[in-house]
Amino acid sequence: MPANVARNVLAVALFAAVAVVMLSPAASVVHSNSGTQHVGNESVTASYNTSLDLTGYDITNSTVTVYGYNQTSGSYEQASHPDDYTVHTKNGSISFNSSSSLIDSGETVKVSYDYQATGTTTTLVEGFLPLMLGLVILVGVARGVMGLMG
Amino acid sequence: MSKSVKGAFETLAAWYLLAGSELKALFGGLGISMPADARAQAGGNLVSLAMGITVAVIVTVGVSIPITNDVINSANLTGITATIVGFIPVMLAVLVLVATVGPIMTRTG
Repeated sequence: MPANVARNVLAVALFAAVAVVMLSPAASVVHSNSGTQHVGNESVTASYNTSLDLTGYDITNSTVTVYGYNQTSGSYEQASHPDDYTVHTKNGSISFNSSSSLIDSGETVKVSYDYQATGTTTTLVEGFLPLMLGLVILVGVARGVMGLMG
Repeated sequence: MSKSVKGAFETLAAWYLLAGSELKALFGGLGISMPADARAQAGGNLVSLAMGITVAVIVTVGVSIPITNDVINSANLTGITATIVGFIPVMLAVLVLVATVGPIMTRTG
């Protein structure tokens, strides 16, 4: 086998190996940053009548669950809306009511919710990115094979 | 293309070029020149292509778009402004998609 052929085979093989290894984190990032995402038990330190920023934004109101610590029973119990808290869905923040019987200012509250990480169109476009990355690998390897075939 | 928009694209292109030279064809096709120092760092082989595109995808999808969405949602925009600004994440996603199409086209053309 001529030296340049071996070099080309090695180059294509190295490209394919590196590209496939890099494909995994890229696909993972796309998956975890597009469409509807779930946040489970995000810890927030309660403060009365203050908007506290949550990690997510564009939150789906029906999916919000808030757990406050009940010091009588010694366990977390589900808080009720709007008696205990109010969620501002668009900018992703929560405020606690001073009239709440469950949540005290300064205690740690756990919030679970779903949020729209990206809109419909962006999600659609981002969904094609892993496919296109795969296509780049395929075309790169195919180009290498065609080059070897002359 | 206005000077400010072109300048923003040139900055973005410079960042992406640090990771891989293959995107040079994409930005070159848009009539955007590359900074000389960024061009000098471009690798120009298949491995840098794979790494460059992957880094571009991860940075754009994992950092740029979420930050953009977060700021847009926090800004409480309405009307035409909200409509126009709402397209920015879409265009960022399209930008990366086109960036993956460019190298394919150069190898199949």
